[in-house]
Amino acid sequence: MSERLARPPPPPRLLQSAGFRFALLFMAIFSVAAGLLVAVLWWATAGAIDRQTVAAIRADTLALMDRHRDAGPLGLIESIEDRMAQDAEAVTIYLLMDRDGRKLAGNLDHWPEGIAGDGTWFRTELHHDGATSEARLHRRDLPGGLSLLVGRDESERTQLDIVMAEGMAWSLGAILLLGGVGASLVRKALQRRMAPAMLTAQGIAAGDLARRVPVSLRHDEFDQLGATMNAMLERIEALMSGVRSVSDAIAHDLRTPIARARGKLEEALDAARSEEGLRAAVEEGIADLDNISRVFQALLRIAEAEAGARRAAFAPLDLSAVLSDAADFYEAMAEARDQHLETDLPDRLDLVGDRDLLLQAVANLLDNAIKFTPPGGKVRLSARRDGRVAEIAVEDSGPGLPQADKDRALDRFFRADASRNAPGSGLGLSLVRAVTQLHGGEVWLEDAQPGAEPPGLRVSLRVPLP
Amino acid sequence: MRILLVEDDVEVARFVKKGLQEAGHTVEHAPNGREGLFLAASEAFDMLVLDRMLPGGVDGVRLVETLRGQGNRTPVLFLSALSAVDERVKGLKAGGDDYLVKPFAFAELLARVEALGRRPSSEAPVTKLRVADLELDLLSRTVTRSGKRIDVQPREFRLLEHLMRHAGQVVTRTMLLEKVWDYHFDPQTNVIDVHVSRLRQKLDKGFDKPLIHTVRNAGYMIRAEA
Amino acid sequence: MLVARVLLLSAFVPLLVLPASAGAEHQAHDLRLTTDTLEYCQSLARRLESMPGHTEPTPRLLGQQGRRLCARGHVRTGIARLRRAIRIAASRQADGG
Repeated sequence: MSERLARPPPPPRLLQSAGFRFALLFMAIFSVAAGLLVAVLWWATAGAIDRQTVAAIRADTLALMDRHRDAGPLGLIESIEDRMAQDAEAVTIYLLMDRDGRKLAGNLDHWPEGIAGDGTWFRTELHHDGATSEARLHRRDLPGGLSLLVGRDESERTQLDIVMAEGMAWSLGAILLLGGVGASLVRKALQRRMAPAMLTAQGIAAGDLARRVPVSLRHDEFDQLGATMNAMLERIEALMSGVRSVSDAIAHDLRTPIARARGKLEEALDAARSEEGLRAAVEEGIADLDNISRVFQALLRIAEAEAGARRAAFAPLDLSAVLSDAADFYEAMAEARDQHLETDLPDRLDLVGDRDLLLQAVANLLDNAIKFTPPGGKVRLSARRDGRVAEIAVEDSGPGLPQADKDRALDRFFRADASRNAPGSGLGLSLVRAVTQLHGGEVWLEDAQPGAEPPGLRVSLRVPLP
Repeated sequence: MRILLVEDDVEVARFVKKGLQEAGHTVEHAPNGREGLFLAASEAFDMLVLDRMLPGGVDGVRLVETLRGQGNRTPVLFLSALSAVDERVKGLKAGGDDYLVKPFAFAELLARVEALGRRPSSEAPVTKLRVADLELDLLSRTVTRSGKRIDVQPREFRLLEHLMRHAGQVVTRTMLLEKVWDYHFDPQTNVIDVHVSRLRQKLDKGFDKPLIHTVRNAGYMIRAEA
Repeated sequence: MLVARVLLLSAFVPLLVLPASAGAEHQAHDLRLTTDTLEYCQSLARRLESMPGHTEPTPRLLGQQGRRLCARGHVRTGIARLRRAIRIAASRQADGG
């Protein structure tokens, strides 16, 4: 199953490939642009020639009509002959007919058929020198029943059209060829760049959560995608391991007290002789159950904090107020144990966070500190702003922790051997760590008075400020 | 009080009903949200105790929203296995008045039910609370017993105020934590007991009649006679 | 996909069709020019002879070349030479008076 999944999928069929489609689209846009360019070019050249031809014909016609008005038909005929005789480029076309259809002058062999009346413009095919070319003609009717055709040979423009059409056909072919090659290159490149992300996703789908997308140093879109995927995978893995550690914790930390409570109740059932004894055992059983549900609640809070689920409850708060509430709350307990709880808090310390969880974390630290400090000792709660970081510290004058224990103290369920039998779940510090991490901070453990005996313990939380 | 209990778990429902009846209340039980909504909408109750998650399409939150939408203002206490803060907030936003997470001690439930059921008795704001010879002035924030001034810290004043507002009723440690300290957290050790006993020492010093009583397995109560 | 292909073709179709369709407006039945014949060449030669400027060196040279080309069958080039000769002769004539 997993091996089958771990192979890359077959590349999509040609037309399904996004890369190919992008390249084709690009090619289409490029073709349209090229087409527009050719159209503009054609209009500017062939069109200009065309307009020049029309202007020449019109000027020629007007001159001949003037001549006819001034010098009569004979003058006109002479003018036409003159123009034909001087037309070294052999482009002019004339035809002058009288009302009976007789040719008076010009170089067309007969009157073309189907030509409408005065002022018509038209194009026609023309034979000369054994070749065929195009001509543009203009008809004007003159007084006295004369009909005049003036025209120009357009073989030059026809040549241009052919050249341009050929050029267009060639460039179309080149665009298609290059576009096709480009499309398949883009498709291949896309597939090559997508492959690592796809392989990783498949590995994950097959259950290997440790897979990550290899990220190149190009910092392009694919690397961004890969980095985003990796961040998502980190998050998913953290959530998964949170769930896993909760089930580990349930097994570890709930089974033992449940077994203990169960044993005690069973023993009472067998051994209790009086109602009094049985009642005491049941009460003890209830207290055990209460304790179990407290541990359970603590585990859930840790899991929620570790998964970041509680970030929804984040709100702006004054950390100083929360800390002084905590101090106020535990001060009574310290006093009852003949200890002194000292505070050193700023007037205000604004933070965005979860008020209940922050208080719980500080409560756990104070509770620990008070528990491990001998009567007459000192516990100190302080907070200060250090640049963009708020530092909360709880110090005690207790026995402190050996270095090895300091390193492990934040692990879940860790309890120093010395405190193995003190009340508490062993979850206190791991909740502190989870809450601190939820707020983007870190926990530090160190000696409160380095070198002194006993050194005491100082636990500090460093939380970034908004 | 006439209480409607909407709870799908037969065993929990049985023991809650029995306990409330023993405390002198009348209890109607509905096993699902639909029936619960029907009963709550058609009959008059002093109080609703609702499971947050109910079978039958209508869960506790929907039920309360529907009732509140109809202008029904009966106090509602949620029972829930969902302990996350946002779940609590959701329940209270929907119109619930209190939220108790399972598993709970019956004494806790009873204390909360009675506190809710006897909430603001008079509309006029009180300025003085009195239990036996103990007097608490809410305006000058002073405490006197038999005319003798007793010095208390602000937090102790609030603690005493809460106890006196619920004079004759059991107030649990969790209730004090939520109402007086306004935090939802687990204090690990019973620090509340230390606070109460400190207050008790101040109040009872030089008097032979104690006023704050410890209710075994439940919490505290302030009342006149021993 | 299809859209891209249609777009591509439609960009070229009008350009390819335009020059071809231009000739179809009027169908002439073997319309023919008469100014590319040997007769016309000879008439041009006569016309040049009759012009006063034809003795100038350039028109004379061009006229001779034109006549020779026409005689050898290169009528079109012959006519072109003669026409240039006439044009030059006519312009000299115009300059002169």
